Amino acid sequence: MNTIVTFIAFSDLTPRLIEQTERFAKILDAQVILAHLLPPEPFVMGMAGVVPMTSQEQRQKLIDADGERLMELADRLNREGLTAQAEQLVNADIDTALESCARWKADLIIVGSHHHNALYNAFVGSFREKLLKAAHCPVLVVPEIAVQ
Amino acid sequence: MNTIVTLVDYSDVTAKLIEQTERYAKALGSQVILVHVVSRDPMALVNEPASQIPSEEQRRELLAADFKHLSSLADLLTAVGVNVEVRQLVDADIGKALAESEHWNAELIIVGSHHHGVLYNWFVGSVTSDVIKAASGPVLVVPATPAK
Repeated sequence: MNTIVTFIAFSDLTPRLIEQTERFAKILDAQVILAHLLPPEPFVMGMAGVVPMTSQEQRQKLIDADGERLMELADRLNREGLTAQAEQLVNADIDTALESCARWKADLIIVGSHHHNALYNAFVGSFREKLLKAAHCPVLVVPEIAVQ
Repeated sequence: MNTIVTLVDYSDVTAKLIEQTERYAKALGSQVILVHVVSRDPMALVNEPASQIPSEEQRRELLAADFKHLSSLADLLTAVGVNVEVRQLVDADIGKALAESEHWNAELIIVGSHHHGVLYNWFVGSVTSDVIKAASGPVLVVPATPAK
Protein backbone atom coordinates (compact mmCIF):
# COMPACT_ATOMS: atom_id res chain seq x y z
CA MET A 1 0.00 0.00 0.00
CA ASN A 2 1.18 3.52 -0.75
CA THR A 3 1.74 5.96 2.08
CA ILE A 4 1.33 9.74 2.16
CA VAL A 5 2.83 11.76 5.01
CA THR A 6 1.23 15.21 5.34
CA PHE A 7 2.80 17.82 7.61
CA ILE A 8 0.15 19.92 9.30
CA ALA A 9 1.06 23.28 10.85
CA PHE A 10 -2.46 24.32 11.97
CA SER A 11 -2.51 27.43 9.78
CA ASP A 12 -4.99 28.96 7.30
CA LEU A 13 -3.60 26.45 4.85
CA THR A 14 -4.72 23.37 6.80
CA PRO A 15 -8.12 22.92 5.04
CA ARG A 16 -6.35 23.06 1.67
CA LEU A 17 -3.72 20.55 2.81
CA ILE A 18 -6.44 18.17 4.01
CA GLU A 19 -8.33 18.61 0.74
CA GLN A 20 -5.24 17.76 -1.35
CA THR A 21 -4.29 14.90 0.98
CA GLU A 22 -7.74 13.38 0.54
CA ARG A 23 -7.53 13.80 -3.22
CA PHE A 24 -4.08 12.23 -3.60
CA ALA A 25 -4.83 9.45 -1.09
CA LYS A 26 -7.80 8.45 -3.22
CA ILE A 27 -5.97 8.48 -6.55
CA LEU A 28 -2.88 6.71 -5.17
CA ASP A 29 -4.91 4.36 -2.96
CA ALA A 30 -2.69 5.42 -0.09
CA GLN A 31 -2.91 5.39 3.68
CA VAL A 32 -2.35 8.80 5.30
CA ILE A 33 -0.12 9.85 8.17
CA LEU A 34 -0.97 13.32 9.45
CA ALA A 35 2.18 14.54 11.16
CA HIS A 36 2.58 17.59 13.34
CA LEU A 37 5.95 18.82 14.41
CA LEU A 38 6.26 20.46 17.78
CA PRO A 39 9.71 22.06 18.04
CA PRO A 40 11.65 21.92 21.32
CA GLU A 41 10.34 24.57 23.68
CA PRO A 42 12.11 27.91 23.82
CA PHE A 43 14.38 28.63 26.75
CA VAL A 44 15.24 32.01 28.28
CA MET A 45 18.43 33.14 29.97
CA GLY A 46 17.64 34.87 33.24
CA MET A 47 18.71 35.38 36.81
CA ALA A 48 17.97 31.75 37.52
CA GLY A 49 20.11 30.55 34.60
CA VAL A 50 18.61 28.93 31.53
CA VAL A 51 14.97 28.14 32.17
CA PRO A 52 12.13 27.01 29.89
CA MET A 53 9.69 29.78 28.94
CA THR A 54 6.70 27.66 29.84
CA SER A 55 6.10 25.41 32.81
CA GLN A 56 6.04 21.68 32.30
CA GLU A 57 2.31 21.75 32.95
CA GLN A 58 1.68 24.42 30.30
CA ARG A 59 3.82 22.52 27.85
CA GLN A 60 1.89 19.29 28.45
CA LYS A 61 -1.41 21.15 27.93
CA LEU A 62 -0.13 22.44 24.59
CA ILE A 63 0.98 18.96 23.53
CA ASP A 64 -2.39 17.46 24.50
CA ALA A 65 -4.39 20.16 22.71
CA ASP A 66 -2.28 19.79 19.56
CA GLY A 67 -2.66 16.02 19.68
CA GLU A 68 -6.44 16.35 19.89
CA ARG A 69 -6.63 18.71 16.92
CA LEU A 70 -4.50 16.32 14.91
CA MET A 71 -6.73 13.36 15.83
CA GLU A 72 -9.80 15.33 14.75
CA LEU A 73 -8.28 15.92 11.32
CA ALA A 74 -7.39 12.22 10.99
CA ASP A 75 -10.93 11.26 12.03
CA ARG A 76 -12.32 13.51 9.33
CA LEU A 77 -10.30 11.63 6.70
CA ASN A 78 -11.32 8.28 8.16
CA ARG A 79 -14.97 9.30 7.86
CA GLU A 80 -14.31 9.94 4.14
CA GLY A 81 -13.34 6.28 3.82
CA LEU A 82 -9.57 6.74 3.98
CA THR A 83 -7.11 5.11 6.37
CA ALA A 84 -5.54 7.95 8.34
CA GLN A 85 -3.42 8.11 11.49
CA ALA A 86 -2.09 11.03 13.49
CA GLU A 87 1.56 11.28 14.49
CA GLN A 88 2.71 13.96 16.86
CA LEU A 89 6.44 14.66 16.70
CA VAL A 90 7.29 16.31 20.02
CA ASN A 91 10.60 18.19 20.45
CA ALA A 92 11.23 17.47 16.81
CA ASP A 93 13.16 19.10 13.99
CA ILE A 94 13.64 18.50 10.27
CA ASP A 95 15.67 15.32 10.92
CA THR A 96 12.92 13.84 13.07
CA ALA A 97 10.44 14.69 10.30
CA LEU A 98 12.59 12.95 7.68
CA GLU A 99 13.08 9.92 9.95
CA SER A 100 9.32 9.68 10.27
CA CYS A 101 8.91 9.75 6.46
CA ALA A 102 11.56 7.03 6.13
CA ARG A 103 9.94 4.90 8.84
CA TRP A 104 6.57 5.06 7.07
CA LYS A 105 8.31 4.50 3.70
CA ALA A 106 6.44 7.52 2.34
CA ASP A 107 5.68 7.55 -1.39
CA LEU A 108 4.59 11.17 -1.19
CA ILE A 109 5.09 13.98 1.31
CA ILE A 110 2.59 16.87 1.34
CA VAL A 111 3.49 20.27 2.82
CA GLY A 112 2.12 23.76 2.66
CA SER A 113 3.96 26.63 1.06
CA HIS A 114 4.22 29.47 3.53
CA HIS A 115 5.40 32.65 1.90
CA HIS A 116 7.59 33.99 4.62
CA ASN A 117 9.75 36.97 3.81
CA ALA A 118 13.51 36.83 3.20
CA LEU A 119 14.36 37.97 6.74
CA TYR A 120 12.27 35.20 8.30
CA ASN A 121 13.83 32.61 6.00
CA ALA A 122 17.36 33.87 6.71
CA PHE A 123 16.99 33.47 10.47
CA VAL A 124 14.47 30.74 10.99
CA GLY A 125 14.86 28.89 7.71
CA SER A 126 12.03 27.32 5.84
CA PHE A 127 10.90 23.85 6.88
CA ARG A 128 9.59 23.30 3.38
CA GLU A 129 12.92 24.17 1.74
CA LYS A 130 14.88 21.92 4.07
CA LEU A 131 12.44 19.12 3.38
CA LEU A 132 12.74 19.61 -0.38
CA LYS A 133 16.52 19.41 -0.14
CA ALA A 134 16.60 16.20 1.87
CA ALA A 135 13.50 14.24 0.89
CA HIS A 136 13.91 10.93 -0.91
CA CYS A 137 10.42 10.85 -2.38
CA PRO A 138 8.36 13.43 -4.30
CA VAL A 139 7.01 16.34 -2.25
CA LEU A 140 3.71 18.00 -3.11
CA VAL A 141 3.76 21.69 -2.18
CA VAL A 142 0.31 23.20 -1.68
CA PRO A 143 0.07 26.97 -2.17
CA GLU A 144 -1.85 29.38 0.00
CA ILE A 145 -3.67 31.05 -2.85
CA ALA A 146 -6.83 29.53 -4.28
CA VAL A 147 -6.54 26.49 -6.52
CA GLN A 148 -8.79 26.82 -9.55
CA MET B 1 -9.72 17.05 -19.52
CA ASN B 2 -7.30 17.25 -16.58
CA THR B 3 -3.85 18.56 -17.40
CA ILE B 4 -0.43 18.10 -15.84
CA VAL B 5 2.35 20.49 -16.83
CA THR B 6 5.86 19.03 -16.36
CA LEU B 7 8.86 21.34 -16.62
CA VAL B 8 11.88 19.43 -17.96
CA ASP B 9 15.48 20.58 -18.13
CA TYR B 10 17.35 17.45 -19.32
CA SER B 11 19.26 17.03 -16.07
CA ASP B 12 19.84 13.78 -14.19
CA VAL B 13 16.43 14.18 -12.59
CA THR B 14 14.66 13.95 -15.99
CA ALA B 15 14.15 10.17 -15.95
CA LYS B 16 12.51 10.45 -12.52
CA LEU B 17 10.37 13.37 -13.70
CA ILE B 18 9.08 11.34 -16.64
CA GLU B 19 8.45 8.33 -14.38
CA GLN B 20 6.44 10.41 -11.87
CA THR B 21 4.62 12.25 -14.68
CA GLU B 22 3.50 8.88 -16.07
CA ARG B 23 2.37 7.75 -12.62
CA TYR B 24 0.28 10.84 -11.88
CA ALA B 25 -1.07 11.20 -15.44
CA LYS B 26 -2.41 7.65 -15.21
CA ALA B 27 -3.75 8.09 -11.67
CA LEU B 28 -5.47 11.41 -12.49
CA GLY B 29 -6.45 10.47 -16.05
CA SER B 30 -4.68 13.62 -17.24
CA GLN B 31 -3.11 14.73 -20.43
CA VAL B 32 0.49 15.97 -20.11
CA ILE B 33 2.18 19.10 -21.44
CA LEU B 34 5.97 18.74 -21.40
CA VAL B 35 7.47 22.21 -21.21
CA HIS B 36 11.08 23.20 -21.74
CA VAL B 37 12.08 26.78 -21.05
CA VAL B 38 14.99 28.07 -23.17
CA SER B 39 16.17 31.30 -21.61
CA ARG B 40 17.27 34.42 -23.49
CA ASP B 41 20.85 33.68 -22.45
CA PRO B 42 22.70 33.04 -25.76
CA MET B 43 24.63 30.26 -24.02
CA ALA B 44 21.41 28.59 -22.81
CA LEU B 45 21.69 25.55 -25.09
CA VAL B 46 25.48 25.31 -25.16
CA ASN B 47 26.88 22.37 -23.23
CA GLU B 48 30.58 23.19 -23.21
CA PRO B 49 31.29 26.03 -20.80
CA ALA B 50 34.28 27.36 -22.78
CA SER B 51 32.43 27.61 -26.10
CA GLN B 52 31.91 30.83 -28.01
CA ILE B 53 28.49 32.43 -28.30
CA PRO B 54 26.71 30.53 -31.10
CA SER B 55 25.80 32.25 -34.36
CA GLU B 56 22.17 32.72 -35.38
CA GLU B 57 22.37 29.61 -37.52
CA GLN B 58 24.03 27.57 -34.78
CA ARG B 59 21.35 28.72 -32.35
CA ARG B 60 18.62 27.57 -34.75
CA GLU B 61 20.33 24.17 -34.95
CA LEU B 62 20.62 23.98 -31.16
CA LEU B 63 16.93 24.84 -30.80
CA ALA B 64 16.00 22.16 -33.33
CA ALA B 65 18.09 19.57 -31.46
CA ASP B 66 16.52 20.70 -28.20
CA PHE B 67 13.04 20.29 -29.65
CA LYS B 68 13.95 16.80 -30.86
CA HIS B 69 15.13 15.91 -27.36
CA LEU B 70 11.86 17.18 -25.87
CA SER B 71 9.87 15.19 -28.43
CA SER B 72 11.81 12.03 -27.59
CA LEU B 73 10.77 12.43 -23.94
CA ALA B 74 7.15 12.87 -25.08
CA ASP B 75 7.49 9.65 -27.11
CA LEU B 76 8.37 7.78 -23.91
CA LEU B 77 5.01 8.84 -22.43
CA THR B 78 3.06 8.19 -25.62
CA ALA B 79 4.51 4.66 -25.65
CA VAL B 80 2.89 3.95 -22.27
CA GLY B 81 -0.48 5.33 -23.33
CA VAL B 82 -0.27 8.87 -21.96
CA ASN B 83 -1.72 11.70 -24.05
CA VAL B 84 1.12 14.24 -24.34
CA GLU B 85 2.00 17.50 -26.07
CA VAL B 86 5.29 19.43 -26.04
CA ARG B 87 5.96 23.15 -25.72
CA GLN B 88 9.41 24.63 -26.30
CA LEU B 89 9.29 28.13 -24.82
CA VAL B 90 12.08 30.10 -26.51
CA ASP B 91 13.49 33.29 -24.92
CA ALA B 92 11.24 32.59 -21.98
CA ASP B 93 11.42 32.46 -18.20
CA ILE B 94 9.55 30.79 -15.36
CA GLY B 95 6.78 33.40 -15.67
CA LYS B 96 6.09 32.20 -19.22
CA ALA B 97 6.07 28.58 -18.07
CA LEU B 98 3.55 29.42 -15.34
CA ALA B 99 1.44 31.36 -17.86
CA GLU B 100 1.43 28.19 -19.97
CA SER B 101 0.21 26.15 -17.02
CA GLU B 102 -2.50 28.77 -16.32
CA HIS B 103 -3.51 28.57 -19.98
CA TRP B 104 -3.99 24.80 -19.68
CA ASN B 105 -5.67 25.25 -16.31
CA ALA B 106 -3.18 22.67 -15.03
CA GLU B 107 -4.23 20.86 -11.88
CA LEU B 108 -0.65 19.85 -11.16
CA ILE B 109 2.80 21.16 -12.04
CA ILE B 110 5.72 18.74 -11.80
CA VAL B 111 9.31 19.98 -11.42
CA GLY B 112 12.64 18.45 -10.47
CA SER B 113 14.59 19.39 -7.37
CA HIS B 114 18.29 20.03 -7.81
CA HIS B 115 20.45 20.00 -4.79
CA HIS B 116 22.60 22.99 -5.64
CA GLY B 117 24.82 24.61 -3.03
CA VAL B 118 24.01 27.81 -1.18
CA LEU B 119 26.23 29.90 -3.48
CA TYR B 120 24.53 28.63 -6.60
CA ASN B 121 21.10 29.34 -5.18
CA TRP B 122 22.19 32.79 -4.04
CA PHE B 123 23.34 33.85 -7.51
CA VAL B 124 21.28 31.82 -9.93
CA GLY B 125 18.21 31.27 -7.80
CA SER B 126 16.32 28.06 -7.74
CA VAL B 127 13.76 27.40 -10.47
CA THR B 128 11.98 25.09 -8.07
CA SER B 129 11.45 27.76 -5.43
CA ASP B 130 10.43 30.31 -8.09
CA VAL B 131 7.75 27.91 -9.31
CA ILE B 132 6.56 27.18 -5.78
CA LYS B 133 6.35 30.88 -4.93
CA ALA B 134 4.37 31.82 -8.02
CA ALA B 135 2.19 28.80 -8.73
CA SER B 136 -1.50 28.98 -7.85
CA GLY B 137 -1.94 25.21 -7.77
CA PRO B 138 -0.11 22.29 -6.18
CA VAL B 139 3.47 21.63 -7.30
CA LEU B 140 5.02 18.16 -7.16
CA VAL B 141 8.77 18.37 -6.55
CA VAL B 142 10.69 15.27 -7.63
CA PRO B 143 14.06 14.72 -5.94
CA ALA B 144 17.20 13.83 -7.84
CA THR B 145 18.14 11.32 -5.13
CA PRO B 146 16.76 7.82 -5.61
CA ALA B 147 13.35 7.12 -4.12
CA LYS B 148 13.24 4.40 -1.51
